[in-house]
Amino acid sequence: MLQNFTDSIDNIKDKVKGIGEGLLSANELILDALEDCDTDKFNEAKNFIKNISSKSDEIDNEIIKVLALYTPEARDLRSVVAYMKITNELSRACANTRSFIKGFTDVCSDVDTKTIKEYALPMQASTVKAIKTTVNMINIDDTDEMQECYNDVLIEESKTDDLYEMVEANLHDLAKKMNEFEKFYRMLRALRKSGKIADRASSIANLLVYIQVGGNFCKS
Amino acid sequence: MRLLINKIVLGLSTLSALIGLGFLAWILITLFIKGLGSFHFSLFLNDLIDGGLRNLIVGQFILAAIAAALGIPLGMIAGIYIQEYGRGKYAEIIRNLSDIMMSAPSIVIGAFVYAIVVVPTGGTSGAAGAIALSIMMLPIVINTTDNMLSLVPKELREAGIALGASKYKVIIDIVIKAAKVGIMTGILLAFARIIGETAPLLFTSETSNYFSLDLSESFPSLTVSIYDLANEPEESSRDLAWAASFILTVLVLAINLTGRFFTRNKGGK
Amino acid sequence: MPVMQLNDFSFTYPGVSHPSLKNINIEIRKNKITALIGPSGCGKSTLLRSMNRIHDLYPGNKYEGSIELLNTKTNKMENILNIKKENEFIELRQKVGMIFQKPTPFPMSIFDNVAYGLKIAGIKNKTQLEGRVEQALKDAALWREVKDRLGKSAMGLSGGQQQRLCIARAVAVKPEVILFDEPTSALDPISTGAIEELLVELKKDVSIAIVTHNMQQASRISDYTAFMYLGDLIEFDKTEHIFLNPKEKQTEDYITGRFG
Repeated sequence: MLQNFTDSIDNIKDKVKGIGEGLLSANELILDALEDCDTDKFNEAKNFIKNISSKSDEIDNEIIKVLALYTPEARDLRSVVAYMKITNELSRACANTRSFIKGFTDVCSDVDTKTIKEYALPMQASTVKAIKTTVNMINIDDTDEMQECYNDVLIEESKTDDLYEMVEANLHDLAKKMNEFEKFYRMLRALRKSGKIADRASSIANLLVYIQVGGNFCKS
Repeated sequence: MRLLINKIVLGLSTLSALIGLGFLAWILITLFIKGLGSFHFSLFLNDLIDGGLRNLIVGQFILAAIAAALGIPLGMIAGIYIQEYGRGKYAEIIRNLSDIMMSAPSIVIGAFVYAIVVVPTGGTSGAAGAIALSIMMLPIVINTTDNMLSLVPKELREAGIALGASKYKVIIDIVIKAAKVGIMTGILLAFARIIGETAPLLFTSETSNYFSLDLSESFPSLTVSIYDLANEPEESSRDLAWAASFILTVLVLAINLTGRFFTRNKGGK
Repeated sequence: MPVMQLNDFSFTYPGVSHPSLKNINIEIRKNKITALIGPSGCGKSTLLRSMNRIHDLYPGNKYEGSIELLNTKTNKMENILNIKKENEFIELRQKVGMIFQKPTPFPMSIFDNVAYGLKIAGIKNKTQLEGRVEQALKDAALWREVKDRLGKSAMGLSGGQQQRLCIARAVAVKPEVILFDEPTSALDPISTGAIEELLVELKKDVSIAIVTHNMQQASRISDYTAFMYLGDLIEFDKTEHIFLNPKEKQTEDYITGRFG
């Protein structure tokens, strides 16, 4: 195999792992911060997920170059295309992390939400475990080991689903006492989703322009 | 229907081949029978004056060897010239001349050498005979060298030039070596050809009954003597002619087969 | 940093009325691989063969413009089209080597093949020759396979080995540039891969120009790519630009396979 080619693929792998590790560190710090609502720790966590946009653009451009220059096949092709989508997912996960930090720094300073923390902490703990296992998987070669890790990630992910449902159920009970609050709350949630959809539409438009005109992958 | 035509054609071809081979076999068998009958080892020990063939066999070889010494270098140089250096017109002229010479009747060549060598020097000589044979050999060697060199791919020459070798060096070190086997085979076959020639020697070196190494006089020749002996009335002369023919045939066959043997090996290392 | 530079270079074959190459402006950069691609008959081989003036084996060519080669001693560019003397030609070809499509081992031993160019260059000392031959064979990734049979004929090697032998032969004289004319077209995929890896290694020591009709080969190994069509140089740029964002539509059509 050509040296140039193996070097390029290793480079991409390392960069993807870099973002993954940043995501992991951010979330680990958040877990810490949740213990005692430490706003400083919350802000520190943000440092681990800075400049994600330009980092993922860099990876995407590397991948396009590999596809153009080396016409990879089979596993090489799959890995390169998969990394491209993984970068996307990581990028979104980092965005979610930022929203989470933003959302929680508000909540923490307000109402006493001891019960929420009762669920938020184990939920974040599961999230951290899921991210950690996934980032480790990047460098695993053995199929069986990989399969095991994947199952672990699925388990943690379903744990977070269960915990979220429990939070929702609790909030529901609380809301029954204040009718107005529920209406506003639902509107809020809906609006948030609408915002997300608009976000995605602009990404798609951006991609269509790229096909026509060329240049580099660039989200803004 | 097509299958039938196939079979008919196959049958006819096989028949023609058998007929051709049949005649060859017939000649060889006749020679064998007639020649072996008069064959005895003293033929190699006595000269013609004593009823043997020694001086004739040795003489024929000497004539052929001298002809080769003249014809081979000249022929190779000419062949190398027209393939490697000749451009268009001149190379074609030499090639055509060579082809014409190859089909010239051997007796005409003999007559030519008679006119330019025998007459001015005042008599027949072994030298004249050798010259006549070399003139016969020349176009064959030119043709072989030219053809074998043309088979060497042009990239091989270019590769030599691309390393900084001069054209001359490329020809000597690379091209000739690459064509070596083919050229040697051609030379061997040319030699086999002239060693069996009679007409060029008839008027130029004639023949002699005595053992001689003197090229300024008539020189012993196996082929010319076969002609002479066959025309003599004595039974013993004709028997001797058969034996001589047999030996000549074996000789030419042996040289030919050696040449083919070397061509076979060309495919390997 | 260019090692060779062609300025408005045009070339006409003997007896032909119109030029086969028109106003070519191209550079060969030091320690880089420059690929020449384009459809059959576009002139890429003609251009390559002009760079070591091997066209002059067949007299009657017409040259226009200039081809400049860097003289490492004076650090100046010299026009190789001005060369007329035999010894200058020899010098040129010792600086600019060439590998052909069909492997061309000489009918001699492996050792003599590699030593051939060295002997022409005047190296006679046996130890020196042996050392240079060994180094060249190592550089061509052939040493281990042939070190025990250096005296055997080169004709006994496989196609891929023969081509590597030709590369060793060219590398032995330590040229500045080596020109490769479709070096892997006649080889199987494994041998092709071996030679491509070799080329990427070699560029540390020599500058390389390679003609290839295999676009993927050009994209895999070259740093710069030139696209040619019918005797014109259509586009010349860094390989990743040519294959990702070509400027000319003709280039893009060729690379995407829209015309042969």
